[in-house]
Amino acid sequence: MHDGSGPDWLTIVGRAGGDVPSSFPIWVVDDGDDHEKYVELQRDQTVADVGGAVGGGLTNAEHVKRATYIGTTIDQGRTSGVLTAEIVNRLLGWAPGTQGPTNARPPYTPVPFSALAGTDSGPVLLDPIRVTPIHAWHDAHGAVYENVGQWKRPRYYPRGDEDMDAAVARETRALRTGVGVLDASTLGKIDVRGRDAGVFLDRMYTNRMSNLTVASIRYGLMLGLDGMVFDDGVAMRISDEHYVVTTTTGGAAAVMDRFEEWLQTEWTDLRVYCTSVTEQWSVVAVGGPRAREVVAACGTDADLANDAFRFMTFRDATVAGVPARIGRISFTGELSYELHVSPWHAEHVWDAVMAAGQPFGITPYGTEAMHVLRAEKGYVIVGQETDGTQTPDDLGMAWIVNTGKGDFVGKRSLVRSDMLRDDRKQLVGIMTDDPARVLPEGTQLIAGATIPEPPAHMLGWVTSSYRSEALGRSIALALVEGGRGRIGDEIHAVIGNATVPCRVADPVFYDPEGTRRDG
Amino acid sequence: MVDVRSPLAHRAAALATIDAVEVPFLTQVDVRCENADAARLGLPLEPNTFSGDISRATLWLAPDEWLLVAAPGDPGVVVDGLEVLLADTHHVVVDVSANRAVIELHGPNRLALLASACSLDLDPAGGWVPGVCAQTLLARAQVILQELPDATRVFVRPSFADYVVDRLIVSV
Repeated sequence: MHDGSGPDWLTIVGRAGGDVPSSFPIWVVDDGDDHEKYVELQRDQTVADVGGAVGGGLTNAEHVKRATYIGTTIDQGRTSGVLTAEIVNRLLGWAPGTQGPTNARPPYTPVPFSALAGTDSGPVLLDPIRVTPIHAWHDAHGAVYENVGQWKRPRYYPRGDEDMDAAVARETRALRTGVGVLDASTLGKIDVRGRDAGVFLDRMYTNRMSNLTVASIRYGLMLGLDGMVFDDGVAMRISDEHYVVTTTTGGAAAVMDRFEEWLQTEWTDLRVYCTSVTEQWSVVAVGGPRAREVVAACGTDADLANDAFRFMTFRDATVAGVPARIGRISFTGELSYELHVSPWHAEHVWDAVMAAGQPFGITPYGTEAMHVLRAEKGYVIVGQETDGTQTPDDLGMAWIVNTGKGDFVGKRSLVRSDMLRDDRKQLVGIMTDDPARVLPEGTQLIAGATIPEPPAHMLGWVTSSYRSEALGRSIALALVEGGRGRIGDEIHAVIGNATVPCRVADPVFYDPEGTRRDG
Repeated sequence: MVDVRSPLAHRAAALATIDAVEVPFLTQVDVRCENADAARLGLPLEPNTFSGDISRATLWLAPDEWLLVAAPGDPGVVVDGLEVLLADTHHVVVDVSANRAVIELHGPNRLALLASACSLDLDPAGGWVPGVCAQTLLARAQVILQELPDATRVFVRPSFADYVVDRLIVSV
């Protein structure tokens, strides 16, 4: 190739053999500053950078590549590889072509992501869609779905031309004044058994589970090692050495992994086995002032009388002709019964509840109504009110932390000085002065009505926000700096370039005495 | 009259197109115990193998975990029997019959079909022969595969069952 008809570092292409070439490559122009001669446009590397590498003793283009990162970008050196090699050759006084460009690695031609995904692409196969045993009913009744992890959960069931707000208002009204039913099958469930089951759960949750009475239920909070809220759920004590605990829908696998990790790595002396039973049980949650009558009308051998079957207890009984674990537990503040049944019977039980509830106007409700109802009660959703930086006290849940029971995951972190600051962001309620105004979730909150020059001091943000049918106005939950000390104070929500006046409120908006849970 | 419904009852026709059927309502019981007790009970100790046959089998799932699979019936009877056998040992026996749907694939191409969605070596020459089982991923769903003479069973969480059927059909 090299015939000496040009400068000795030139490679002649095209007509060789003595003819005057019509074109030839120029690797470097001699004039100008080497710092302005770009070799690698994606990394801004110049002839000077290549010179620096060679001056440092590197002679192999592969080494120069690693010293300069030339050729490590999106085109894998397709625009810079030959150029770099020839500049190195030249700088070393070697003939062109003495060493070629570095080895290209795939993908060195553009590859669509869909080619890598192969069959696992498109709306059905990209990510599995998990459905409950009652899904066909939801489909047949026009449910609009919400993705919760990989699950499709009914968000609301519009009637006629209702929009979401209208449907949710109707569904929440039914819960507060009549009766509603929710498919809660997606709740994570873990069977925890063994001689040390109670001890184990005492170490995983912030409160004590070992003294829970058989046939009783207790709410529990789990922390990370950093003391931040990780997941929540309830524990049901089946017998002395047997519990079933529930987790959030999205947190089920993470909680199971965590249980196994601690048992297998830290507490190998504990005699406990955990089994995921999320899909062994489906859950039909019947709630509202008429819930007791509806469960009774399904046909059950359980005594549902309030004195016989108290809040936060459960019974193993028969409902609608099939075995059921009935739990009196409520995420809405209303009288509620969770019917834990075999998924093989789930549709049957759902149908039975719908039939028994018909005289009471039973209303199936979705996750959106559930979110509104629990927000009216100030109940947090892990992952909605929390983002991994909230302690129990931040959420107003110091009552659930039992520091006298011995060690538990996260306990040590709760006494670090930063965790005890009184200006940490705390959960509060927010009421807009205009009751019709619903703040967008994520709205930032500031003290004054005027937005200050940046950097503005943000007091916190809105975590949940809804129109509440029961209160006839908007409500919101928020995390606000020293929030509990600001209850009753004015605060301002920033919407675009304007502010919306609000008041800080207690996060429990509805039935703070909890009188409604007994029906 | 109580209607019972299996997770894939609505997919029978789809399954037929890949020479597969749902095997509904099987008794499935999860057993956790120590190896000495497992040996005493005759549970398989060789990883990723099962004892028994298509009508009744015990699958090794993990060093201290087995899955007993039996004909539809009252899982409580199996649970109670095991509780007696394992009394006074560190163990648990949990009815998980409804926790997994079971798809049974037939025909000579069934392993090629599964292999298209599974990174495990399902070649008989590589050791995938009747008597072995494994926990693995089928595309993006966790499954247990059990190789029987002339059939392969796929145990999958019911919530993922529709997805697995869809995925296998596309692979054909």
